[in-house]
Parts: sequence; structure tokens; C-alpha cells
Amino acid sequence: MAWRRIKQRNCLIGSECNECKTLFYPPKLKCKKCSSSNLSEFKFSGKGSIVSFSEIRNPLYGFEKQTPYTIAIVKLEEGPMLTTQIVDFDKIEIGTKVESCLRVMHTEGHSGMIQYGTKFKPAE
Amino acid sequence: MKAAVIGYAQTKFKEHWDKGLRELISEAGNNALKSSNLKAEDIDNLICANTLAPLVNGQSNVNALCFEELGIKSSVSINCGDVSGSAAIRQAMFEICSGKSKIVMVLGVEKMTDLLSSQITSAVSMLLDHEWEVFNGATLASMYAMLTRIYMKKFKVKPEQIAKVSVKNHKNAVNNKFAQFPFEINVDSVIKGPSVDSPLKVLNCAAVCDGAAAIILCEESLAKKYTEKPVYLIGSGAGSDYLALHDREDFLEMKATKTAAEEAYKQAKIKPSDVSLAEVHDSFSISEILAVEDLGFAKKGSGFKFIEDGKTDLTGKLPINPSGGLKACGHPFAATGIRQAIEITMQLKDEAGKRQIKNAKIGLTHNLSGTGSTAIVNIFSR
Ligand SMILES: [Zn+2]
Repeated sequence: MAWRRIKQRNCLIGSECNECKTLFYPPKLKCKKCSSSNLSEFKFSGKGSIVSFSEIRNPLYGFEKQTPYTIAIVKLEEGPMLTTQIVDFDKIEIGTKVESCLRVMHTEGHSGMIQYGTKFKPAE
Repeated sequence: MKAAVIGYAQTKFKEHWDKGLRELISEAGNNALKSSNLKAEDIDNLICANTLAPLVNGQSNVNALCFEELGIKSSVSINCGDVSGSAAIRQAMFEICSGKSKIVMVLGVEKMTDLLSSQITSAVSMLLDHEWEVFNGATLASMYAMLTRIYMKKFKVKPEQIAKVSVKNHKNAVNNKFAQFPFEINVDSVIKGPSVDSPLKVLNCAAVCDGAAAIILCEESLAKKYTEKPVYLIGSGAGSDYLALHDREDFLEMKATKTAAEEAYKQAKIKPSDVSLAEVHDSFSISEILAVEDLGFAKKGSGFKFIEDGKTDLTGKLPINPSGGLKACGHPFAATGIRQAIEITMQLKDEAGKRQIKNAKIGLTHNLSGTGSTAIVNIFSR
């Protein structure tokens, strides 16, 4: 079922409320602010900063081979926040500027297929 | 009309390698009947709380197992994550107060330990947003780890201060024979102990385990028939929030807890300062700290200090988690809320033995699902 969200995940497509112009990522079916259902797709720039992070040592099933890995909440420069992995870094802290990149998410799991997804790395 | 607690029982919380769902249900359920001198045919309905059996044990319809083991003529199951036990108690209150049932058994059961480590992590992470948190690799512990990091930075809190939560709860559990870890630890053993998802240490986290807990509630007017000292459920509140942390308005204020507490205090006609003791959801130390603040016991950003200063010790102004909490009792998801209600019942009936709190009049339970997407607060009085 992961295919259903490929575009939103891999191209960072969220939503914009056509009534009050609030932006959402992940995409929403209804505006959290004004309750309107009149929303359009919105592509985010993929730039943001780290709100918090954790190095995971007790992984999920299917993530054992890449352990330890780092999960973070990132605040996009357009406003919304998302949960993602941080890769290609020496040192990060709260506030570190990051940008999105496309990476393999995991290679095992329920379906046994290779899953791609968006991760973030320190901004150039 | 109010509902009253007239009987209770629980199994020990631990890794019961030799027991399955049936044995756990049988022990807690039958002992709860015995504790109030009731027979199965006296009970109008049973509400069974369970979260993980469909995944871990391949078993749905867990309430039907309750029928097999206890013989109560009708039953339903309830599942809303690790808050299910408290939700079942709340549903029993509705059922009794509507006049539909006179006597109801609420039973929570979980058999969680038949899995490999990464499978358990995946199972408990089902409480999170699967599409937008777990798909990207997030685990339940890592989300609480991120909350802990934000709290520590914002309020300048040291790991030693966070560790005090587990130290207190372990100390309380020493006299609880049903607790998974009835022994003391110190700040050093937390700080120098093994790390899990950073910045968390193993001893900042409650452990999964197996167990069952049951209470019997009845209509207020019947209560004295079954027990000399009934305990009354005088208020209940529920609150919801977004499943994913990244969608929440404020990471350090659990809106679900605030919504639930406001409703429960209003129904019970009490203020936070009227509470004599509380059992709160310390699945991770940070969740006890946030609960102390969001329930109105301490100001935002001072919950850690309130605990560090001993105000929540057994002998403090407001004892919190006298049982040992989720940390030291163990956390068999759907059984936890009922285990919390049992502790409050024992305390209000002066049946808590060596951990008895003097003059306990009003007790509160606070239970969460996941990282706080659902909260339920139940308030009891003697
Ligand atoms: Zn809007």
C-alpha cells in the first residue's frame, strides 16, 4: 500500500487550503485551521531545520540492517513539520539546517520489496 | 447516578512464558469475582480491553475468550491502544449510569512477550501514525526520546533530574508484589545504564510484559451489598489529539490530557488541589513529567522540579504512582488503565499495606495512548 503515497512522500507534495491559504505536510483532506475541504496540492521546497532528533538503537522490524539510524522532526521553511530520517552527517543539533534527498527506506518488511522515501541531510 | 468499584484482581505483571491469554484472563477474572463474592451470572456485561492480541497472538475477539474462561453471558471488546483499559472503565460507567446494566466487569489483558525484539518494537509502534511516522522508521521510544530532548533543552533539565522519576517509581514498587520490577534503583544506575534511542536510557522506559487486571463496577445503590467500603467513580474525561507528534500544536503540552482532565474535574466537581494521589502514564519518564503539569499539579516547565523535590513521593504532598507506575509495574498495554484503577481503589479502601497513603480521599488515574493521541482521566473517591 506504500505506493499510494509515493508522490506525496518522494516529491514532498502536501496541501494548501484555498480558503485560508494555510499549508500542510503531510497532506490533509480537511484544513486544520478553518475546516474547509477545498484544498489543492502544494510542493514544498525540501528545506527546513531540525526540531528534535533521536538515534534509534532498537529498530523496527525491517530496519535492523541500517541500525543505528537517526529520526528527526523537521520544520519545513514553509511552516509544516514532518518526521523523517537524517543521513550524511557528522554532527547535528536542534536548529541544524537540512534539505531533502531521496533514499532507500528499507529493503525488507512485510512485502519484501525495496521502498524509497524522502530523508533529509545537512543543507549545503 | 454513580458507578462504584466493588471488586478487583490482577495477575503479576511479568513475562509469563508459561501462560497464554486464557490463563491470564481466568486468573484475573475469577479472582475479581471472588473478591466481591459474585458469580458469573450476577454480571450483566463484560467489557474486555486488549490491543495487541490480533498481531502478537493472532487472536481477535478476545472477549469470547473471556466468556470461555469466566462464563459471563455477554461481552464486547474495546481497543484504542494502551489507553484501552481506562476507556473500558469509562464505557462501564456509561453503561451503569444509563441504567442498562447493574453490574459490569472490566478486564484488560495483554500477552506481549512472544516476539523478537524488533517485532515488539514494531508492534508497540503501531500506536503511532503508520503512514507518516513509522514508514520513515520512527519507533514509539524514539518519539518520546525527541520529546525528552525538546523538554530538556527548553527548561534546562539534566538527565539526572529526569532519572528521578524512575528512581521514585521503583522505590514505590518494592512493596507491590504484582510489579514486574519490585526493586530500588538509583540515579547512577539510570544514567550509566544501557542507552536506547538517544537521549533515553533503558531505565527511562517502561517495559512490555504480560498480564491481566479486572475490576467489577455496579450501580451506586447496590454497592454496600457487596463491599463494606465501596470506591466511587465520580468523574471521567477523554481527550484526543493528532496521531503524529509533528501535527500537534505544542509538543510540551498534551492537549488530550488537558481536555480529559478538564472534563473529569468538572464532572467530579473538584480542583486539581483536591486530589490526594494519582496514578499517571509514565511509559517514559517524560510522560509523567508532562502529566504532572497538564493535570494541573505543577506549572508548565516545573513538573520535573515538583518530582525532584519529593512532592510526589509516597510521603509527599501529592503521591504519584504509589504502585510503581508503568515503569516498575510493567506496561501490558490494555491492562494498565485497570491496574491503575486497582491501585487507587486499594488506597481509598486502606488496603494498600506498606505503601498505604494516609487519609487518601480522592484518587485520579491518567492513561495515554501512543504519544498522547488519546488520554483518559478517571477520578475516584471513597
Ligand atoms: Zn483553511
